Amino acid sequence: VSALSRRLAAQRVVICAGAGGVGKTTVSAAVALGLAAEGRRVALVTIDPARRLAEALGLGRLDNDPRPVNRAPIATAGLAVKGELWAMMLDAQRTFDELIARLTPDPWTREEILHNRVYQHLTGAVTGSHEYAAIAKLFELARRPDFDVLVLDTPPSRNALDFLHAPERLGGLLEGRALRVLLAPTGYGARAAGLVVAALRRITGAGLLEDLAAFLGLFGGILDGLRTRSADVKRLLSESSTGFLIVTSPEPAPVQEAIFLARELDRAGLHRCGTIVNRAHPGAAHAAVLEVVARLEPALGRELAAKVAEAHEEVQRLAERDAVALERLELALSDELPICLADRARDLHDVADLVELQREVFGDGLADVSRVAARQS
Amino acid sequence: MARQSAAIEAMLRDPEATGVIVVAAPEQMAVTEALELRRALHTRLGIQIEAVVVNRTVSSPFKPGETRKLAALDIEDPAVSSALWLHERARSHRAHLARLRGNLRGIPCIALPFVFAGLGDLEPLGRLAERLDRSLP
Repeated sequence: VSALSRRLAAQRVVICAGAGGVGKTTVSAAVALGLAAEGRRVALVTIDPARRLAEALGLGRLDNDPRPVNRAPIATAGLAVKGELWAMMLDAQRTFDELIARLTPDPWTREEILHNRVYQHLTGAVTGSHEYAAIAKLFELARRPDFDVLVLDTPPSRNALDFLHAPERLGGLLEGRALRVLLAPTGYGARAAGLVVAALRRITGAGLLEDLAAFLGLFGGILDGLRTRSADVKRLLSESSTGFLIVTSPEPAPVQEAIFLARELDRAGLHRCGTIVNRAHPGAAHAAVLEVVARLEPALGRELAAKVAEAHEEVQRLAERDAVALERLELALSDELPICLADRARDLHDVADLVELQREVFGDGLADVSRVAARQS
Repeated sequence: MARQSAAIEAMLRDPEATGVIVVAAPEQMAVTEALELRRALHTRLGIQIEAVVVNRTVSSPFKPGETRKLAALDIEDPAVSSALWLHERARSHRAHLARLRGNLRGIPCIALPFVFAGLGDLEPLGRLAERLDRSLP
């Protein structure tokens, strides 16, 4: 049993978090595939998979509910899936709309809210709704008995932590004094609200204001529902069966972000269940250019041997850079060894590539990178 | 507040005052995002971007015949693996760059080389700056 299998054995929710552009979506797919192979019923919630990954998973179109992933091509690629693998692409707007629909008392109110301009703006921008929708969906799926474990790929936020704070931020907005005063204007509040509304009318024009007033009236009715939901989601995130898997590349900025994220998770009392360093460059024993040329000249001729030596020199620079970053990461995490995955030089092409990546993830990754780090420290 | 917002918006929309350069990497997601950004700026704000700069582009020093020769070697040599890796990475970068260029329809697209040495000293940064200076419209 691999280190990662052990760490994920008790998890019901695995949230893959980290900086954008490090291959988070692909790694979450490999993790979900591995857990399904071990016999668990897995739902993978992805945000915006690249076309090839979507095809590999059989996600032809945007669909906001998990669909079974065809296991025949996976078996052909040499992996037997003992459990089940389901996958979906998150549609943030639809998830939020569905949540509102569930919380509104009648169809009329629901339609009014969904078509309200202020609502559309609010879900689009103010609350970071991609993040909120991802967690809302997670919460909904966690309550269904169909899955043993959920693997969530987090949205490419400016900051990986935006995701964690999404429920609070929405909660904060709803709890906020300003909104409350506007929602339930009585006494002094009523006069203040009147002044605010008058001031806003001068700045924004009348149309938007009518929409705002309508929105606030309609939304007031479902505030309690949303508040309860925010609290429930927060509880789900802090349960010990919910784990955060940090994904990073070996580049300095994502590593910095991974370290920051690990600290924030620890501070918030949330559970870390591993760190994966994607696209690492395995180090080889360092060889001087002349030595490589001498070694390869008989087989390649002098000119080509020199070009190879130079290419090797450059790739070794990357390996050294990775080793330094990895050492920093290991030092900061202290309690766990990151799993390193090799930089494959090309993108994921098909199911076979995903199966290969899954093998690396659950086979504890590359040993070489850690060895280089150990040698340098 | 309304006056100030209007002034800021006017400045950002004025092509004489503000030019937008999109920075991308030669990778699938970054190329998709650069194209989406270009479209969104155009359709939502009426802003036409000036250029796309693609950073960290790896190029291969090897000719096709040479990599065939390397791949056919039956010795396991770390330097040869490095060379083949570099070549494969360059090929993937070239493909993403081609998709970007194909969708930019005439907007200048400048590829900057990957700096293996890192930007610890100013010399490589100076070379990137010179390259941009020559290529930007």
